[in-house]
Amino acid sequence: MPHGYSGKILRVDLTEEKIEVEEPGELFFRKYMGGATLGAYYLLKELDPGIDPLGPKNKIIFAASVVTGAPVSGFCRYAIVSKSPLTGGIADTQAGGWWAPQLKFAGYEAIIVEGQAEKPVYLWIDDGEVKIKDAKKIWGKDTGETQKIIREELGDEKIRIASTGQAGENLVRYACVLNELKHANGRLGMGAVMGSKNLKAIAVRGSGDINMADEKTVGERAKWFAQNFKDNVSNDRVSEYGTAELVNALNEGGMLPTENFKTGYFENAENLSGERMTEEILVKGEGCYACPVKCKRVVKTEEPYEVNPKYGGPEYETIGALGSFCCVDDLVAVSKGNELCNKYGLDTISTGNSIAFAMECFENGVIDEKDTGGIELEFGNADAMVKLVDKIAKREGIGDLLAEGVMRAAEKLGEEAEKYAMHSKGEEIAMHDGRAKGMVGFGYMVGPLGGDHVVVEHDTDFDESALDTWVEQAKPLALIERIEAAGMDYQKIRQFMYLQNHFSMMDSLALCVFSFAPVRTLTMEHLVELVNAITGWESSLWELMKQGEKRVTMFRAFNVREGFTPEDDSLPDRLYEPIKSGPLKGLANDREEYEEAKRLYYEMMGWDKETGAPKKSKLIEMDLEWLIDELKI
Amino acid sequence: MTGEGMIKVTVKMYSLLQREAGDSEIEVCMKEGIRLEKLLEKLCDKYGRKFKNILYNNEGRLNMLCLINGKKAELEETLKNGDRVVLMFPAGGG
Repeated sequence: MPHGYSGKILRVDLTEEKIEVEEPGELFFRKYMGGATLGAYYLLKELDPGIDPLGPKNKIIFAASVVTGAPVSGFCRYAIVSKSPLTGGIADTQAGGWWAPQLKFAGYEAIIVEGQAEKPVYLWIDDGEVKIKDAKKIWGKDTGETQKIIREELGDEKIRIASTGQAGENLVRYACVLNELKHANGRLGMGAVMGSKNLKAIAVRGSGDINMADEKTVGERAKWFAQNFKDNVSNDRVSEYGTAELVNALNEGGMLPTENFKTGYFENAENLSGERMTEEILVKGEGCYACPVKCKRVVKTEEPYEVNPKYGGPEYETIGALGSFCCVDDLVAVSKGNELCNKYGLDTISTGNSIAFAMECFENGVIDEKDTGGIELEFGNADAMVKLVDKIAKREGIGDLLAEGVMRAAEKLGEEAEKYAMHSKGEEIAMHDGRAKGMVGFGYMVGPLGGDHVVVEHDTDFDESALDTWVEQAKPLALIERIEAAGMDYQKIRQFMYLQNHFSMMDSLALCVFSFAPVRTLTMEHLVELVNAITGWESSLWELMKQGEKRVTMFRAFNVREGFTPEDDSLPDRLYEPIKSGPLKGLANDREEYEEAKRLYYEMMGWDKETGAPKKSKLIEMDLEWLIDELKI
Repeated sequence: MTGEGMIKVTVKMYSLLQREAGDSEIEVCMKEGIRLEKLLEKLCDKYGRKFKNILYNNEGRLNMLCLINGKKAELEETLKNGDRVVLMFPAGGG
């Protein structure tokens, strides 16, 4: 009997209404520890390339990991993995909260959902008993109503529910999935995949325990974390002000994404800050399973918009996307936009990015009031931003076009609009300036998901102004020198590769990067200690880092099989153009430097320069030789 | 009003410093020719031990970034009348 995990994977075929439990064995879970590494295994084995992401042949996998559910800060997360309707490549999007531990308590590591239900359904997992239930009563409802009705129907307030809202049903390409109405698997359209399968929600109740190898060590470390996290500046900051604490710091540094990446400085940024939120609209901080940090926010407002606290409050990314990126300086409007996104099941990053795109199209006459239904869609118009969130979720008017994402919208609107579409591989770019942070920009370029900001720990955590702790805690990864935040010199290509493998490992184990080194409280040593105490393995940072590299390699293989080429590893032109104002005015990425970095990075990763595919030798090194035939190499 | 030989600077404090100070922005009058380091000492005297523990790490190194008029400043820098001093954590990731 393994420790930390049950070894059971639930497979649900919605077409055949068939439910099975698979047990792939201990060796499998050592090779594919969880999250998207486990998910990518099944997608690579079972999906034919070229299938419609919104058709019955796509599969959607909800995956915790071998260590999820241990009662320590950061062990509460899970990944949703599928073929993305936004990019056509692999999707991996993660959420904390309470759902994943419950899945583990019910005795499962992951759920593979395939096929397409004939009519709307939801899945009910009650320990060993799993049922496909009629979702007639909740179809067409928002996430809040869905949660309430399911809990009433099943007669238990404590059931944990992951669901999508109307945006998922309407197949908005960046519709998301939320648990507890505020913990989002935000990115890449997993709500739409659920919608396409007529799957509204997955409700879970578990009564089991995590059978840990060394419960004492885990308990002691959890206690130590609770006693010490306030001494870690980064954990203290988010505990006090939420991730929105970043707004002022990024703005003063000239790198707050503003006006669709035209600039990095927003005059009225302070109105959007975590400090301001705390003073004016905060109800409380709230957290995830077993975490004392409580970095999530709960806000309540009455005027001019009524915001219901049950949907939480805006994170930094949301404030960036619906706020500064659209030049909206009204925190109440941003909070309303956030509430609507959480109700409808919309990714706040893609939503805000799409609205900013539409604003720039409006500014330049690509679209006009006839297209917007009379809305003056100018940068800074808070009310227009809120109205557009609603229209996107319902696919009404201009919202129908924006629900396709900026890449497809720009293709329809023509060449001029393409200049304003801030995406990579079809995914809207997140709220960090890829010029001010060179590796983050490079991540937008070569990262497998697209405009994803969680590819590496950010450049500014290692530059001359970075705290000593951050630099010290990165040393076990062989990152021993400080870097310049902007640009991609040789040192940074190496650093990018190591840090990408590191974050990828964190994702494979479904861990929260806000609990761990280099920047946060738990060190690399603690990480290994905890993995071993939970599983009973004698693992090492080396083995875990290889798990991270395996995930990156598998993602690459998936995308190549779907027809992605090195040309898809690109950035919008704007990130090669100078920031137009603020402290970093004039800063731009050098196209040649980025292209060279890309070639060198491919070589370091063991990928073919011409095709971008992992080489045979790399697949063998990664224990992925079964992919050799798959990739025809 | 600043008298002869005196300067007035604006100090903007973010995040945990704001929490400890209970202020986000203050004006400080000091003698002409004073260095940034001296201003920080003055603030630590005013706001107390917890404030100081946020500003400096255990080894006495500055934990925060100081900007003068938007530019990163060194502790030895001399302040001028009308300067805007920002004290903030390095941005980090989000």
